[in-house]
Order: sequence, then structure tokens, then C-alpha cells
Amino acid sequence: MKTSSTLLRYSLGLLSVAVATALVWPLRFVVGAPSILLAYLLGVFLVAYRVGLGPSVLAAVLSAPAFAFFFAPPIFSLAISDLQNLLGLMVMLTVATVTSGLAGKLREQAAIADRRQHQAMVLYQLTEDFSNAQSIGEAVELVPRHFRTGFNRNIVLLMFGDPEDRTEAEPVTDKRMRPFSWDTRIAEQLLKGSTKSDLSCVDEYGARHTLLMSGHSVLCVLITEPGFTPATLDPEDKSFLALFQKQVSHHVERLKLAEEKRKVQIQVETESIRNSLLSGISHDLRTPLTRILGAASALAQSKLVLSEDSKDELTQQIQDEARHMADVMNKVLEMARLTHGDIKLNLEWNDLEEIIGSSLARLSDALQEWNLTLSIAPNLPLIWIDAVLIQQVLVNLLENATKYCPIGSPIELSAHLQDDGSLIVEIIDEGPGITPDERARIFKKFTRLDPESTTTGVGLGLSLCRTIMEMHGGQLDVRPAPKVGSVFFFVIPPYKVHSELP
Amino acid sequence: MVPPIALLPAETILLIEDDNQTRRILNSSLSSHGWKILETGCGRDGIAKADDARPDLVILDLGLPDMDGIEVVGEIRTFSATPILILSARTQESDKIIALDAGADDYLTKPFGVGELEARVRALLRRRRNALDLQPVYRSEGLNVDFANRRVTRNGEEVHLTPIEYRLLAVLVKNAGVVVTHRNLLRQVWGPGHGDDIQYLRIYMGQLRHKLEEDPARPRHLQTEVGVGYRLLQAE
Repeated sequence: MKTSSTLLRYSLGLLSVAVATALVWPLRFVVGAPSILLAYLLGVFLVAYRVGLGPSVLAAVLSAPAFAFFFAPPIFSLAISDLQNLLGLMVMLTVATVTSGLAGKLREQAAIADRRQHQAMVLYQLTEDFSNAQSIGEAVELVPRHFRTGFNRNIVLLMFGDPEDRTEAEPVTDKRMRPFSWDTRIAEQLLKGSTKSDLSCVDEYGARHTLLMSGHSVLCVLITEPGFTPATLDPEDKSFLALFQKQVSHHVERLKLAEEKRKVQIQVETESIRNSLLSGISHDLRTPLTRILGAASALAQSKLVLSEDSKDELTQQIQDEARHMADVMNKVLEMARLTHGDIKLNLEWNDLEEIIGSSLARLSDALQEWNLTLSIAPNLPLIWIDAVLIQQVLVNLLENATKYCPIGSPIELSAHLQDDGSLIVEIIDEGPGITPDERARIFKKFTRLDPESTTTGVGLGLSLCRTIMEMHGGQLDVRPAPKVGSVFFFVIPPYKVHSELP
Repeated sequence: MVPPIALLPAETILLIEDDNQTRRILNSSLSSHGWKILETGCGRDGIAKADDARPDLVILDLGLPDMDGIEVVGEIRTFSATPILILSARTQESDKIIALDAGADDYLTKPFGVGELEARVRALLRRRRNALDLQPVYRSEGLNVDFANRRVTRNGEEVHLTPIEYRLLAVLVKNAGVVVTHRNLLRQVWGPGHGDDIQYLRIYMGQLRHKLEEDPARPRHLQTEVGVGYRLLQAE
């Protein structure tokens, strides 16, 4: 490749002489020797400018005999009688050297400018990727690729996955890289700071390990493939390498700090959630427990005084309150399961009518005293949902309606398809209604509009329901009812509704 | 409450439950209805007793100290077809399915009332008796199924069922009061190899509900056990 391009370049030098000769040959009787020399000079100049020193010297050296042979009397002999011609040769050689020198420098500068632009692009891309990255892991994943774009070399980046847990360092590699071997122990020693004096060393495989630090905190180790020696790089690349490493450490440090901050924030939030959960649950369990204990002790102590009726009432109370405690327990467990985040939906084709039926069966005692009407559109298609969870939503919404609306007031449960193919279920009550301000709060965890209310409930219900609907790609919200009260509704998106009617 | 069948020899129930308090309450309430109760607090002993005494019903708590309750179901099933009623403290539906797939017949989630337990026990024992001596007519709250003539009536009016609807209803009637899982229904009605075609089941159950129930959204007979299967409620 290289020899053929050299050959080509020298042929161009040769060609320039041939072309100059051929062009001037017909004019040899019209123009004088100086003009002919100028033609050769032009050739030499062009070669020097475009091709380089060697070919232009060749052109200059060949131009002299060519001139002597073809133009200088005696024609067709190499003898040069004229001092003027000798001088011409000297000029041509000088022009060749000077021009090609200048042109060469120009080309070199252009190449440097190109390289700088390329390096700037690499650094720019690096910065952009780092700022777009959602996590530190995602960000460092791109470093090896940028390094290859910048230096045409492969690297591996090694860092501790968890800054707290300094036992296992995770290598970050690029999938498309040429694999190479390195000694992980060296990198780990660097990371753990056991070889503090050396920030860079080469292992037995020839891979170079470079520790990146910020202040006194260790960030990561760059492992470059064998054969990459920063000492032999030219000044341009050396400063680029330094800049590259500086950028990486700067961004890694920034992201690490951001991540730590987020962790602290999550901890604080978890703590406050735990607190409100505990106070909510203890309130919710203490109330029925007090009633149970009261009823049971009354039964135990004054057996003889109580009438049969009041005995029955007390046993009934114990049963009801115990059942209520079980409900609270179930809800808390369900919440813990859902908020833990690793829940898998058990999706199946389901009939909404069945879920409504079983929800109403579960609530049959609670709903007895309300005037519930159903308006379920006939022939609703099947829906692709987790039936247990959707039942939970329905039970929660109906239960809320009974909790917050006066006894005997009407509650309507309606279900129908909407124009866009989605399925909407609405629970319409005639209760106190929800103001826009309240609406913003009720879907938050552990929020109850009146925390001191004697109505039981930890305030998990609506946030739980909304989480469930979001997991289904649907939505849950509330709007005011036309006259009085509110409409809680949830929507199953069209792509979860069976396209064929049963 | 009158003992169900005072003239027949008392049916034996084996109670495998590790909590003494719960066991005592269940024992006293069940024996007050005339059933003979055997009890134990661990799985190994339970399997041995099930083998020796051949009880008519096993009530099994899933959370035992010495072994997993689901394993106990499997072991008992190697030598006995006696009905097994699972008591489970776990709220997740998948556990119920695993126990039912392992061979258990029905379940009750803790906490439960004694009344619910008695209803389940009665349904399972009745099914066991009926398997030996099939009742020609099923009657419950206005619903009549006459197997000899393949005739179904609701409040005296004849209901026309398609063959598949009839087969579905027949399976549920045979298991009246007991849960039948989706998989079981699909196998018994459509045949093996159709265990996963759940949408057919939903559609036919929907049609059946609309033909048999006055208010299909508030069924009195065909109860849905969400995530598990169906149960035909029989008025006691």
C-alpha cells in the first residue's frame, strides 16, 4: 500500500516533466529558452505543492536533462552549453525544495486541525453521553467506545459497582472490542489504593492500568490494551489523553455524587413512609382491638348480668372487628408486595362481570346498607388483566364509597366501552365530593383527608389502586359528579380489550 | 344445628394444624356437629394418621413446622383420594393454585369463621358421598338440574343450554360447594390439551351466568373465585 503510493507520487513527478515537454515542444521555435524553463518550473512547482519534496526534486532533476535534450542547442543531446540553463536548473531545484517544504507544512497543519477537530468531537460526545445518562453504569458503558474513536485503541474500565461495597469491581467493556487479557488483581490493587505511589502501571500481559482519581477519592481504573504507551504519543495525543481522562473522572465523580445524594433522599423518604405507615396501621389496628377487648371482657366478667340480646351483640362485634383487622392486614401486605417493585402481573383474559360479581360478594355485608345500582353494558369484551389486582381496585373504590358517603345514599357502578375502544368503570356516589385541591392529595400514599377521622383506613387505598392501574397501562382518577358527589373511575386501555365481542 | 346424618356412622376428619389454640377451637366446633376428629400438629404424623385411619376428610394447614403443606398433599395423594381442605395464611392466590394442582380439593384463607369452615367440610363430604351414589336431580334456590333427562330449569322455566354449557354445569354440580379450578374445568369439559384456553371458559361461563342467574353481576349460584376458578353455591 505504502510502496505503491510512493511509486505513484514519484510517477507524478516524472509525468509533470513529460507533460511540460509535450506542451512546449510545438512552441520551441516561437518562445525562447527562459519561457521553456518557466514551463518546467511550473511543473516542478505544482508537483512540489501537491505531491511533496521527493517527487518535486525528481521533477527538477529530470527537467534539466529534458530541457538540455529537447530544447537547448544542440537538440537531442544532453550537452548544456549555456550558463543560463545551468542557472535555470538551480532555480528549479530551489523552487522544488522551498515550495514543497511550505506545502508540506501547510498539509501538516491541516492534518493537525483535522485531528483536533476529531478529538474535540470525541470529547463533546463523551460529555453529551454523560449528561444524558440516567445512571453512572449507563454513562461509563460508553467510555470504551469513545476511547476507541479517539485513539483507535481498546480499553476496559474497572470500577466498584457499589461505592460502599468495595469487594467486587465490575469491568465495563465494549461489545465490539477486540478482546485482550489483563490482570484484574493489578487494577483492584490500584482501586483499593494498596499501590498508592503508582497511578499507572503495566501488567504481565502488557496492558496498562491507569488510576483515575478526584482529590483523594478513587474513581475508576482505565485498562488499555497492550501496545498503548502514553510516553511515545506525540504531544497532540498526549494532551488529548490527559483531557480525556480528566473529562471521564470529572463526570464519573459528578454522577457518583448525584447517586449518593439520591440514595440519601430515598432513605429519608422511606423513613417518612415507614413512620406514617406505622402510625396509620397502629391506629387502624388499635381501634378494632379496643372494641374486641372491650366486648370480650364484658362477656367474660358479667356473664350473669347480660341479656341474651346484648351477648349476641357483643359476640357479633368481636367477629366484625376481627374481620376488619384481617382486612387491614391484607391491605398492608398487598401494599408491601406492590411497592416492593418486583411484582409480576398475572395477566389473563378476564370477564369484568365476574370480577364485579366477586367484588360485590366480598363486600356483601358492607354494601347492604347502601343503595347500589349496576349499569353494566351488555356483551362487554374480555380484558387482558390481572384479575386479583383489578378486583382489589374495585373493592377499594366501593369500600371508599361506603366509608365516605351517608348510609342509604345511592352508589352506582357503571361499566362500558368508550369510543376509543377502552373500557371504563365508574363508581358514582352522592357523597361530600372531592375539591380540586383534595384531588391532588388523595392519590398520595398515606394521605387521608381527615387523619383524625374515626373512619378506619391507612390511606393506602387510592395510591395502591392507581399503582395497579398504571401497571396495567390504564389510569385511575376522580371527577365531580354532575350534581353532587364524585365519580371515581378507572380505564383499561384499548390494547388490553379483546377485539372480538363474545 | 342438627348433626347432618345422625343415623350413619360418624365421618372422620383428620385435622393437621400446628397451632394448639386453633386446633382446639376447630376440634370442639366440628365435633359438636357429630364428626369424629383426629388431630395432629405436624406433617409427618399427619401423613401416618391419614394412612392408618383412612379419614373421610383431611383439613391441612399449609404452614407446618416440619414440612411444607404442599408436600403433605402430594404424599397423601400417593395412597389416598380422600378430600383435602387446605387452610392457608398466605394471601397470594398462586399458593392456592399450587396446593389445588398438587391434589388438594378446596381451600380456606386464614382468618376464617367456623361457619365458613363447616360449609366447606359439608360440601366436600357431600361430594364424596355423591360420587358413590350420584343424585339424579340437583336442586338449589330455584335451579334444578335433572341429569336423567338432561333438563335444566330456573324457577320452573326450562333453560336451553348448548352441549358445552351443559357439560360445564354438570361438572360444577358434581362438585357443588367445592371450588373447581380453571384448568380442571377446561380438562373435564374440553378434554386434555385445552388446559390453557381460558378465554373459551370465560365466554361460556358468561353465557351460563346469563342463562341461569337473575342478575349475572350478582350471581347466586355461579360464584367466581378470582384467580382460581368457580364454585357452585348450594343452599344448605
